[in-house]
Formats: sequence, C-alpha cells, structure tokens
Amino acid sequence: MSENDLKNQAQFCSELPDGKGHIHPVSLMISDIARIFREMGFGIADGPEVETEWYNFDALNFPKNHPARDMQDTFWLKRTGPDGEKLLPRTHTSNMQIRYMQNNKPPMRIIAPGKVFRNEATDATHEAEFYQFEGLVVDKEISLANLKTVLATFFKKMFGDDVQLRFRPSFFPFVEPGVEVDIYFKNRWLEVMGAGLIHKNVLEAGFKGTDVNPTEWTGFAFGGGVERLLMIKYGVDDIRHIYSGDLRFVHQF
Amino acid sequence: MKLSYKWLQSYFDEPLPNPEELAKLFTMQLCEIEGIEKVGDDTQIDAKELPDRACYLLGHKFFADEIGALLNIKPKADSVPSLMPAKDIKVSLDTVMNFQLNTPNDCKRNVTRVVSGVFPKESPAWIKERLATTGQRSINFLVDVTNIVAYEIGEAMHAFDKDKIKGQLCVRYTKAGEKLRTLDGKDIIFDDGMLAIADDHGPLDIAGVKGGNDSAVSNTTTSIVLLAANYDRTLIRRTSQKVGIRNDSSKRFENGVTPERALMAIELASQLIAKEFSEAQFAPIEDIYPAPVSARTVTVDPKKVKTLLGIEISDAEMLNILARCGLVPTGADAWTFTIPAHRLDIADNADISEEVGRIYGYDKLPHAPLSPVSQIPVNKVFSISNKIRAFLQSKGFSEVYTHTLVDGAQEVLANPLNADRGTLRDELTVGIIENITLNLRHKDYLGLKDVKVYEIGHVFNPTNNPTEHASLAIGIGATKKEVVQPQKAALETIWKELCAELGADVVQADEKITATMSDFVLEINLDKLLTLIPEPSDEILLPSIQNIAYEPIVAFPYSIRDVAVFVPGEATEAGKVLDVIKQNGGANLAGAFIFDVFTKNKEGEPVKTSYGYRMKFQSKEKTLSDEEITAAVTKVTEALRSQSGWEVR
Repeated sequence: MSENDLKNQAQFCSELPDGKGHIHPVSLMISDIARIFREMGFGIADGPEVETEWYNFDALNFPKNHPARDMQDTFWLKRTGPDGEKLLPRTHTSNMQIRYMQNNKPPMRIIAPGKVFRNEATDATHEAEFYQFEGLVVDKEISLANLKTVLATFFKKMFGDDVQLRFRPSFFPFVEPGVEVDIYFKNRWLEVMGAGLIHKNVLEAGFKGTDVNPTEWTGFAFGGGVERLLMIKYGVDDIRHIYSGDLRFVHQF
Repeated sequence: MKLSYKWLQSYFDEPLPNPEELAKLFTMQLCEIEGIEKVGDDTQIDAKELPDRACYLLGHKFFADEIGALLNIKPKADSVPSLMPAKDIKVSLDTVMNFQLNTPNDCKRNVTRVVSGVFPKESPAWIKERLATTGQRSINFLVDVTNIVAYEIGEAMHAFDKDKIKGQLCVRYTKAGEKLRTLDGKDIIFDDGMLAIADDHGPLDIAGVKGGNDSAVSNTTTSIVLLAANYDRTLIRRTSQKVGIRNDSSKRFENGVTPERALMAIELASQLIAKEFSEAQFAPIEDIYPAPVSARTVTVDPKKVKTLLGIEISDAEMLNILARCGLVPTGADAWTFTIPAHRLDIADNADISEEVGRIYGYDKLPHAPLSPVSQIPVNKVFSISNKIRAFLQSKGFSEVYTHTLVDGAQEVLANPLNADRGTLRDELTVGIIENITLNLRHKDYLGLKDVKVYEIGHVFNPTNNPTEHASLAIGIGATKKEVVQPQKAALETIWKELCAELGADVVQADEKITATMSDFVLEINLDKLLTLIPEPSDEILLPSIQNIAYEPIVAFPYSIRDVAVFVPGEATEAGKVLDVIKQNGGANLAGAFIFDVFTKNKEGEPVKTSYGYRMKFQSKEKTLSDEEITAAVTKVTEALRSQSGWEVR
C-alpha cells in the first residue's frame, strides 16, 4: 500500500471501531526484535534497572577515573548498597552481560531489552530515560564476521532486504575490537548500534567464581536503542512523542 | 582534535586524497569525523579520536602515521622543512635549572631547557596558518612554538619566562590554600595533593593543566625555560575537574601519553626556535627520568587473529599490515613485535586483531552465520507481559509508557537533572492518573467512550525487599466523579479475567498480592503475580508491528464535529457516506470515522440506515477559526443532503 493509502486508511474509516486497545510501539518493537533474534537462536534476559557501580562499570572494564566513563552521563542514587557500593539507574543494558554470564553456562545467546537512564538534557533525539536492547553471544571461536552476519540479518528482517550494513572502528571498554554499526536505509547512512568482540576482562569478570574457564570462550556483544529503530522505521521525528503518554500517538500503532 | 589538511600533507611528497576522501578514510578505518571546514587556504578536519586511541593519536604526526598505514605510503619524519637535526643544535649556554622532581609517582619524567637570546616576536605565516586551522590563536612565537609542538606530537608543554622564576624550580604537591592566577586571569586556590610547578615563592603552573600569569612569557622576555613532562593521568583528571579547567593539555594527559614524548617535545621546540631565531642560545637539556619505561612487546597468534576476525588472510599480508602500524619484529621469532612506545592502546592479540581488521577492511568480512541451536530458553516475565498486553488490548486498553523519574518518591537521585524528576517512581498509579487526565482531553478525537490505559514497568522503594520490582497498573478514566463506582467494578472484573487468562488462582492471587486500588487505577506487583503463573512452554510474542503511515501529533488545536445521515436501505452505504464527507470536507478535514450505525425497519416505511460520522478539522499551519470550520461542515452537510433520498439528521 502506498504512503497515501496508508494515511487515508489511518485517518478515514467507515468501519465501526473494534473496541480493541493499542499496544505501545516500544513493546511491539521489542517483541519484533526478540522474534527476529529468536530465529537466530537468541533467548531473552531481563534484569534490574537500578544497578551497582560494579555491574554497570567496573565489571565491564571501565577503569575508575577513566575518560571512558565520561562517555555516559550518569545519574547516581543518594543511598548506597548494603556494602556501601555506589548505586545508579543503569546507563546501559550491558549490565546484563555480566548478570547472565554469572548465572548461566556457555554457549549462550541472549537479547536483553530494558530501560536505561542518562543524565542529559532532553531534546528531539535525547531522553533521560529510554530503552535499549543488548545482545550477547558466548561460544567457541566467535568472530567479527559472525557478528556482522547476525546484525546484517537482523536489519534486513527489520527494515527490508535492500538495507546495507557497515562497521566502523569504535571504542567501548567492554569490547575489543569495537565497532559502530551503520545501516543504509532510505538513501542515507544511519548510526544504529555499538558492537564488538567481548573484552577478555569482561569474560573474566562474568565467569569469575563459576566453573567456566573464560579463556576457552569468545563472544560478541552489541547494543542499540529501541526508539532509534522506531524513529527510523516510521519517521518519528521526536523521541519525546514516544514517552508523551499521548494516546493520539499510541493509537497509530 | 582539529586537524589541518595542509599540515598532514606536509608529511608526504605524494598528494593526499582530498579532504572529503581523507575524512571518509578516517571514518571507515580510524575514527569519526565531526566536520570538515575551509579555513583560509587550508581545510580543517575535526576528528573525534576515540578514548582508547587518544593516548597516541592527539598530534598531526600520528594522524600522518595512520594515513601512511591506511594508504600504504611512508610519511616523512618532520612536517617542517629544513629543520636542523636535534643533535646538531649547538649548546652555547651552561645555565641549568637543577630542577627538583619531588613526585616520582605522579611525574614520571621532567625535561627542561633554557633558551636565551630570544624575544616574543610575531610568528611566521606558516605557524599562524597551522594555528588558525587547528582553532588556536597566535600569541607570539615563543608561546606558539609550544602549541605547535602539542599539535604535532601530542605533548602539552610550557614556556616560562626565566627571569620571573625565583630560586629553585620544582614539581611538587600543592598545599591547601595555595593560590595561582592563570594565564587567562582565573584565580585558582589549590587543594592538598595537586601537582604544581613551583619556585621558592609558590606555584607557577597547574602541572599538566594551565600555566600561571606570574611566570608567563611577556614583552620583556629574553630568556625562557622550556618544560615538558609526563604526569599521572588520574591525578591530572582529578585536578582539572577540581579547578574546573579542561583543555587540550589536560585532555592529552588524562588520556595517558608515553613519557618518551617529553624529550621529543623539548627537542622539537628547540629545532623550531633554532629555525626561526638565528641568535637563540641553547643550554643543555636537563632530563629527569627516574624510571624509564622499557620497551613493550606483543606476541601475535596469527591463527587466533584470523579466527577472531573470521577472515582468511595470508601471513604475508598480516605481517605487512603490522609493519604499516609500526610494529617492528624483535627478531626473537616472526610474530613477536616491539610496540611503538606511544601505542599504549596495544597490549594483546585482541588489540592486534583490531589493527589488522580495520586496515584489512571491515567491509571485507565474509558471510558467517552462527550455527543453529536446538533449544532456546523461554523468559517468563517477557512472555507473560506480552500475554497481559494481548489480553488487555482485547479488552480495549491501550498501553502507555510513563516516566520512571518523578518527583517525591523515596528512591532519591544524588544528581538529578531537574528537581521535579529527582526520584525513581515507587508506583505506576500516579503516572497512570496523570496519563488519564491528559488523554481525557482527546477522548472525542480518539473516538473513545472511556480512556482505558495500562503500564508495565519497574518501581522502586528502598524500604522494600526487594527494592525494585515489576509492576502492572490498569486504569479507566472518569470524566465525572460519580462514575467511579462502575469503573471500580469493571477493574475488579478485569482482574478476575486476567487471573483466569494467565492461569493464576484468583483467590490465591488476592491473598498474596497486595493490589492497590485507587478510585480508578488497579496496581499489581507483577513479580509476585508471576510466581502464581505456570511457566510458559514457548516464548510469547506480540503480533508483528504493522506498516503504518506515522503522522506526527499536530500542535495546532483540532475541532470535532459530528454529522449523521439517513440513507435508504440496509447498512451497506457507510463507505459511500465517507466518500461524500471526504470529497466535500476541504483541506482542513484531517480525518473522519464512523461511530454509530443503526437501521430503521418499521413496517410500512421504507428501510433506512443512519450513519453517524465524527469529523476532525485541523490545520498544520494555523489555528482554524470557527467560521472556517462551520463553512466546511455546512459544505459537507449540504453535499450529504443533495444525495437523492438522504436526510441529514
């Protein structure tokens, strides 16, 4: 159906309403992400939104007092944890890498969607709270080529077969090599994800105290914004609409 | 770092790709480019070096090395023609500062050199151009030299007016209360334990961060002390945060640079001064380097590199790439290399894989799907949440996402962005009530009898155990206070039906779960409810997201007008009625939907059907006047009336 037909269908209707409600597009998008990755063998993991400094930073190879911590503007809780540890609303879903490694045995493939928080002023493309999805694979002989293939498959299924994908060198403390993932969609390159091969310090931290020998395993991880995909797919121009709570927005989906 | 294209070109005899192509090369194989801008006859390329590479990359020389590696060409040693080799600079003064390095843990190296017979003359044009392109201001030649050095080899250094130094020059920890006025006139009061370059009278310079005014090069300067050092990155970071000065210098040090650069900086500054000042006299270099760093090596496992990247690459090609990155075989074996001192980002096989991967080209990574798996775990919270969504959707409820950061809850942020978003919500109910108030305004627009919404999300309370749980809140909006009772009853019914749908025993659920029911919102601890629900056998997903034409919410107000028309016959003409409305509603008719149909079938009278349509008038450009709307409605009404046998009610 053409864009115009779709618009007409949405705004002009000669059938009585079915009385059904609407599911929020963030939920629909997360479910679609889960569906596509499930076809590639990924399960879902969930975890807490308030996290300790260790899970959010230390275990992910962010050294203390390192400029890498500046990459994420962090809210901190006023109180500390039972052992005096600093607490924060997590800045990314990457905490789930460590939590999942601690409680499961490789090989593993998971997607962890969830809410994250950044201490930055809101504007059309930034919200202080938003949704990310983390991907984690730990297995034998995992390669950057595997990562690229998995992500290319995902984006083709999400946005159509003619989507192209590219890697650019990047840096995230918890991966090495680290890459920025761009897709070519509607005639331009868009930055959609950060990704890379899991840093050995992260495997060590995640499997510490378990009977898994981290040096025998490799893996990749990636993370992207759920709203970003919604905005790209539907041309939503302002992230604040998504969390406005306005049913005039939700009812379109 | 802002780069000068001409400066980069001066490292090469062969012409470089044009600035746009060079920027693309960097983007795909090195780092992001924030912008390209013409500056005079030069072009500025604004490169956003990544935190791991910032330790070595913050100088033109190193970008030139990268260009060399990427294009497989060899850069020259210097970007400035006809420099006298450092070792040939004649030492004609015997002045030494007897510099005292009192903080070997936080200052790994200090190099000084006195240069006399100079004065703060104007810089030559080539220096001014380089400074301009890299976003710096030319001050005078003596100061400019230090900035050229910083942008050339990434070492922040300083020039003091020698005659303004009183007694012994040293680097030492500061004492609380000591003061300094910076070069740009800012008064700093030190804490204990920061680093300062000081003389007998006190601090002259916030080491690694900013020079002081009292010892600055000025019009009367005839003799300078060049100083380049290596400071602890963490201390510099803390100091710069405390004094509130973050600049090129602090940035370079806090990313960690090799102490090897300090001597290079003094040598390069000397070479530049010798080139422009024939009358300059140089004292010997005074190099205090208590624990020189030893050369680091890395042993590469080529098979592992290939496995990590997932590529087939010959040993010869890999060796060629490593050589282009400046990795020199130690000779011990074919795959052990000396790491260039400044490449602090390289330590192991994973780092080598990144170098090989990006220079080989990530675009050449082959197709390599993961092997299939036999069993995929099912996630209960995710699945049951989706089941709840589907159920509530069928009952007419829409899902909303409200903010976690709210005012007045008990889980308090230490550093909120806004005072009214300073805590983490302890319930969803408040958000749902606010949400209902918001949406009641648009009830008619949406064609809703009630505003029925729900949210699934985490809530927080430090006095609970656990302090965080998933919650579900379901609300039915009330237009008037007196209809609260039926809503309560409706929510109680929904709750029973939901329990049945999920397979939870409602009596047990009622006992175990403290549901809170405000007037029209029901909130349930979802984590507790989950314990009463059997494990799903397969992951429950939502229907695929539909292809829709998204319409942004228009800021200008809308008006709702209803119209009803009797049309002869059974209820088969809804589409025809809509067509007439659409054709005659004009440009400001933003939408129309049917909300009521009934057929009159009285004996002795012809059968007729009433169609009730709701019309939305809205402009994307302005607020519509009543007259404009009334005129449009009249046109629609008349058009409906003009159809043979149709009666507008």
